[in-house]
Amino acid sequence: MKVNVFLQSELLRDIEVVEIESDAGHAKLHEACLLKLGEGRGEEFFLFVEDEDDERSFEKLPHIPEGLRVHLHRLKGVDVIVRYAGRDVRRSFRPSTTIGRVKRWATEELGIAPTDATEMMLQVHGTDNRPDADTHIGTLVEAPQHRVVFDLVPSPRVNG
Amino acid sequence: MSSPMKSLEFGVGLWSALMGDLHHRGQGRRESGAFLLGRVTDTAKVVYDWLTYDELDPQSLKYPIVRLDSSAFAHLWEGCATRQLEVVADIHTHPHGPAQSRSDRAYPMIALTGHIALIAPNFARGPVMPKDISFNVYQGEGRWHSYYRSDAAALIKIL
Repeated sequence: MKVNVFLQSELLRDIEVVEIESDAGHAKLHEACLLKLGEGRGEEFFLFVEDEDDERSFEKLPHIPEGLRVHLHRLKGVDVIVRYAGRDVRRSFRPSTTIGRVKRWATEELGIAPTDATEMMLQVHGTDNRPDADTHIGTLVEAPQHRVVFDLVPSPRVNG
Repeated sequence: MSSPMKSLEFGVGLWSALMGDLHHRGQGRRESGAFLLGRVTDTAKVVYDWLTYDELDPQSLKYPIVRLDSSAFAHLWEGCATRQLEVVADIHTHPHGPAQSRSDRAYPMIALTGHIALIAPNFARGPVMPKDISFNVYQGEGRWHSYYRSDAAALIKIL
């Protein structure tokens, strides 16, 4: 049975859909994903499952599920810094980590209550870009660059 | 037992300069505000500098009340990094009394538990003393503790 896998990468502008047999296995999926980057990619790319820290998480999957979300990147880790009110929190994440997960981690580290966090967004430092919650951080960092800085900003504030 | 609340400390001249700046920027007709930047010690939050809302978002003075766009906060974090200071409080003016409005309570400028939000009455028309201010401490999830008059004055130290 064919399934659709959703691929993000540092070298792709948008999410690509990879159609593959559900029992194809990790190696064939990796190969099919590499084809989406175009011909002649000599460098090594690693394939990660969305929001999974375990590099070998593919081995735990009995088959490729419909709607699996993956990421291809030349790096195994991306250094993330989140700035808020003059405080910085930092740690390394897999490139397949979603903006939503980074935001949950950062707000927890900063001690921001979950209900307050719902009014906040991550903005890529030095830009107006506020990526969607399902964007992988690897799409924001093209190797050899390995660091991304976010400003945690609230929705517009009104005091009267 | 909860830890004692940290006082907010201002150096000589800083308090009156801040009130003068807020009054000047609001021109006695509209609300104005600022983020207070400083350092946190074991016993106090010490103010060294401030960044006004209109410096961070020039559009903020278009309204009779305070409105700050999200992008203003990225500029604020940059200002903190440049000065190696953090936001220790915010302050804005009201046309009349210092009590928090509904929007003041609903939209904390900084959503950290323990963050201090001051409100100066009469558009900060001077002289404004610490006892004239409301001293509001964010508790998270939309909850605040507010202090007025002598209780507020006890938490603001002008050194």
